[in-house]
Amino acid sequence: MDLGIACSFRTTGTEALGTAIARAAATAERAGLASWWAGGDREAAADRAHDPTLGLQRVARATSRIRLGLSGDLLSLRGAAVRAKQIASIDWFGGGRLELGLDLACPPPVLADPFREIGDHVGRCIDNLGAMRALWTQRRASHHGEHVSFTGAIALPKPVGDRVPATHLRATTADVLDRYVAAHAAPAGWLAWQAGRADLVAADAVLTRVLGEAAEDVRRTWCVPVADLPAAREAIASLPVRVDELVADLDHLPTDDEIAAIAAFA
Amino acid sequence: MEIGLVDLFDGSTERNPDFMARFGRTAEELGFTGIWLPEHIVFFDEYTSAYPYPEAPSATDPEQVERHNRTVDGTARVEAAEDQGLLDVLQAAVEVCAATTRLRVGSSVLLLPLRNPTLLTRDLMTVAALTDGRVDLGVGVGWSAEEFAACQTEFRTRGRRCGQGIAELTRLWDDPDGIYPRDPAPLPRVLVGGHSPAALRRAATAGTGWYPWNLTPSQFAEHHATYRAHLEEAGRDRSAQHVIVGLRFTGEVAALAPVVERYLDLGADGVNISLRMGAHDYADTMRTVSDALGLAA
Repeated sequence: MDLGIACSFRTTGTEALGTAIARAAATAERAGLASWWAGGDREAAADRAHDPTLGLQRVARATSRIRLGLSGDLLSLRGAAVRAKQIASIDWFGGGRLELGLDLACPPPVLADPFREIGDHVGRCIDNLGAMRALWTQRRASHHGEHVSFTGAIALPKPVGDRVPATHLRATTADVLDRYVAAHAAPAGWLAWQAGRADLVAADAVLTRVLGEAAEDVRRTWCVPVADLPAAREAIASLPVRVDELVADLDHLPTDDEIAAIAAFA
Repeated sequence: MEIGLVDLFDGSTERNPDFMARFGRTAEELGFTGIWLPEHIVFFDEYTSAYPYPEAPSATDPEQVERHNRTVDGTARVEAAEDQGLLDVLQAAVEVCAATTRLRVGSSVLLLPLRNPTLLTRDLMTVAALTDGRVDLGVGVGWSAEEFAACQTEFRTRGRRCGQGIAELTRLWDDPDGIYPRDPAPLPRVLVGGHSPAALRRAATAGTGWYPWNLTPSQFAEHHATYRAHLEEAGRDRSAQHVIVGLRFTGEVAALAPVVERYLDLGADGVNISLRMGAHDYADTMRTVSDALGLAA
């Protein structure tokens, strides 16, 4: 099982933001952590933190091995082509290490574009992802969906290595997962984000109910508040569900001591 | 005087992060004030939309214009490679600033109508924090209906949306109950691109500066007067605003100094020059321009 870290890009001391990110990211990589997940759009707002995408770009530049994750993209809040470029750019800076976590729950109204109607946000997320994948994979990209449509679009850079970044879904309802799977097949990963044990088991049941045997191929990530890491680590052996990666989440950029304490649970 | 260079980082292997760092440091060492980065989200092989700035002031007589862009079926095309890439403009800005200490980085221009202003505010607060406030925000309304359609944004109302975006950005920056990082750095300079009547009014009433492109000195003087009149009507002081003239320059570098001087004499606070420098000869070109303009002295 892998061990990772997630955090909001918020400093707590006098360290400059860029310095704090570079220091913490390099420390996490040296400590042997498998992944660095940027908090999602939702957490960035709640924590009054800096932008996850730009923060993760600095993590990418301070490291060379650790997997990089956006943990909770609210795709309906942005244009698909704009987001496709932002994500492909991080991947370019990170040499192809980016993984994309989607948050399909309803976005907080406070993050909405005040001059644009979202409507069916799940449908828009699913359509936007289809458009993004077209832009990432086709030399002259075409996509014709309910919310976004284009023909012959030239979008560069593309993700490194002729690939689509592994896409994880934050655990969601069976109905939403059904809609996602109908459009994009099974996700690469399933994120039980800041979930308790009961929530983790329930989320796993949703995944299995919708995907059946194919659920076995989906990577399971369990993210817990850093304070709950010891208990979560101990509980994993007796859980009725498989966990491929355990992630400790902080609402701020970690100190080196905090990273060492997390790495001790590897 | 502020002399900036307009150039691009395309996400290619050749222009990798090491190149970006060298490019930025070279510009900084040679006395340039900033590097300004264009934005396009997508390009197309075919356009029905015309590129609006295909003519630039001539090097030999800047009151005359020379057309340097390709024209297809009477429609001017944007100057772009067959497979043109551009990195996300804000990530590229952060990257160049991380490799430099004084150099400013600007957008030339960010297509504001394509962005969610609520999220762009957070983006820019992060950029300001990561760059110690060395980023300038050139904004524009774009010209490609094809690009706007691909970005799910109505082309016809892009001007209104740009004005709304600037106003929202300014409001949210000071929102004490916001969702944003506490104690953000000051709002970057917001320079409105273009010289249409609407752009001039928007620059004077919503922005903190104006960023015209490829105007002859006489055209600049005329539009600058209109811009100043709008400022006066709005009760705003020209000295608190920032005007950067941008131009594509294809002539001999020796002819550049009098052209730049002319714009500065007419009231510009700075000049941005697009030379489309090569990845292998950019340092020589920058040195020649720096010498011609006396920047490193």
